[in-house]
Amino acid sequence: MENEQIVLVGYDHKNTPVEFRDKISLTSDKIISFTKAVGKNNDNVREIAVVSTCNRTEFYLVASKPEALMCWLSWQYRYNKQFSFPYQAPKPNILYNQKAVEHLFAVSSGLESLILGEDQILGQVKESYNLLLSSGYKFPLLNKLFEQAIVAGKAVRTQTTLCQGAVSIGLAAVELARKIFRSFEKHRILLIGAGETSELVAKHFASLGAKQFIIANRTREKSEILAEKFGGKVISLDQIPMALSEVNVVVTATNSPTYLVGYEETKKILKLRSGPLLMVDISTPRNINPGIKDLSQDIFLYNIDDLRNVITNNIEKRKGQIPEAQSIIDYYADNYLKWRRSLNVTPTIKAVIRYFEDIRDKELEKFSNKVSAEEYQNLEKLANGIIKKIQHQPVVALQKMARKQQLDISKLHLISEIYSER
Amino acid sequence: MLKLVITLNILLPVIYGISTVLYGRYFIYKKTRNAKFASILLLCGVLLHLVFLISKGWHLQRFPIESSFESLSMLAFDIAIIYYVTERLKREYTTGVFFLTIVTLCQTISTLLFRGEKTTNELLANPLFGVHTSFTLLGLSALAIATLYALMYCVLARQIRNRQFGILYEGLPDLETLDSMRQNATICGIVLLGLGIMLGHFWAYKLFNHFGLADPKVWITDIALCAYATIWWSTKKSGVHGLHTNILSVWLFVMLFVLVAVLEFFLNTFHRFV
Repeated sequence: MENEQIVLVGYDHKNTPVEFRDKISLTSDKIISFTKAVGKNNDNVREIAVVSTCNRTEFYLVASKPEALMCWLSWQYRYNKQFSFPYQAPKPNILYNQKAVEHLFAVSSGLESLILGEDQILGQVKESYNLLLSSGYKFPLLNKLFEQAIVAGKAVRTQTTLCQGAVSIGLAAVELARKIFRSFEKHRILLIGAGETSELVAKHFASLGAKQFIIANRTREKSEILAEKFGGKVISLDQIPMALSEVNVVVTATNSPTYLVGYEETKKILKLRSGPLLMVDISTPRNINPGIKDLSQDIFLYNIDDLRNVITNNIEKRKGQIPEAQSIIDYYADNYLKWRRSLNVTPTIKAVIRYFEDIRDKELEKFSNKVSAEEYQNLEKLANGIIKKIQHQPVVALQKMARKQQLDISKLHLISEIYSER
Repeated sequence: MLKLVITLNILLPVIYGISTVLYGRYFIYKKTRNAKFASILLLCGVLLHLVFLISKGWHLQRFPIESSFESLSMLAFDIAIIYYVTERLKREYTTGVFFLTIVTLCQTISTLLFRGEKTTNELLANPLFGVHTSFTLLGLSALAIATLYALMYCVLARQIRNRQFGILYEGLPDLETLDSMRQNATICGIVLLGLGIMLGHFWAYKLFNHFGLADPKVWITDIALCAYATIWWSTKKSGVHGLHTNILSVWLFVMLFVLVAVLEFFLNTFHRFV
């Protein structure tokens, strides 16, 4: 056990092109196949956990001969995925022990993500952990490692603002809307355009409880598909001015070369409505006449440049949180490594305890037939008390030395030798 | 009794002060733990403040608003309790730092200049007067809180329009919440001030056989209450909301404040107790 190392073999967006990442990514079924290969008594690889997402495929392994891991992995790919690593395959990121632990914690915290502080990764690490638990095999080191990675990821999210602030256009639009409206359940949202961007925006609003969408698009079929997906009604482009009187949010994302929301129509419609109106123009060229902004103090009009500024600001803020996130990761990694070291010393502590208990049992045996049952019980109590007091000091010292990293394998062997069975 | 009064007098600014710091930390760092602790501390502060006011009144044998410094403590209590109610209604903690700063300042000044001297003012010794004053001050505090919410709304709306994503943009809740909290505080203000004014008129009639309308401060408050009630009712009926109603709310309170301040300065009305 003392020779076993935690090893990371990882391919991610930093060291591997997307084409190769696609080829080596693993579904849950394949991950289970890899796990089974390890669980059925593998000589070298004792434990395995896999994190496979669109941006990374990483293998966390506990192995006694790390140098042989790449061979084992490529064989597994050939066997389970019918995929052979090409001669010029990208070099993976290989990290050992502390570095590997810190890497996983950084991954779960979103520090290693393509978009800094991205939120989905924690769920993906949880998924890997669940696969590990459901495999049925005992992988104690990696179980604890993933459990702690999830705790660290959550701590970074709650104790820092690393994952806060929108970093995509769709989310930035929603973030602005959230600064104006408390909830979207009772508010109507007018989507002009039914393309990918509109769908993404609708998805973000729907996740916040929005239920009343009005969709306007040149091609009615596309609008209907979107309306069916998120709920809502479809209108034609010339019905937009009337719709303005009943909506609270307008998002335009089309390729139209002209304004779809004009100044004069909006001016007329404003008399029919009250309260804030958020207008987000993600189109290039713009689809909302910028002059509309001055029609009322309750109109909040943003274009794509404004949203880009929001994103840039948020990314800068996230970067500022890296040191704090890093110190949280260090804390949890340190805890994990302490726990791991305490496992190394456990057999030695057991040996020490066993040594003293053997002495006690042998000495007590000498009196078993010579004294009464009551006297024997008293002797037993006395012996137990003495043994506990004698073994207390070496056990505590061993635990303390393990925590302080003062015990290497040779010392542990020496101590085990001293206290080995007579 | 005096020992309890003195102890609470020292304790209150400390409790409000810590609560303010915690609300401030929540405003900046958005850590829910801070907000929850601040809110619990505020509730403790409000309850202790109530004990303080009752024991102080008991000790002095009169309603404790004789001097400006005593009134400051009453004002601090009123703002604290009304804020607490509006906070609980929306579970929105981000604005706490602003109100608790005012509460802490008022209570600290009151604590520093506290004198436990007994005076004999017949008017203040009347319990009905205490109820009338409590409701009126609570009502006015609620309207002041509504004004602050309206002010926050205007500032935030301006920042959103001008793309100034600074500390207020980050810290304050959304416009809809601010508007809703303003409305809640306004309703509280109208009801409490209405009750206070009604009791005042009733009491004046009982004591002096007239409704006290000779005092300009009284009819200005009456007019202000009517204005608030009318505006609240008409906006509710027409569904008008947004920046204009918030601006109106600010102006209404500013006018009320200025008029009462001017009258207080130039006229010596029966609402003086020393």
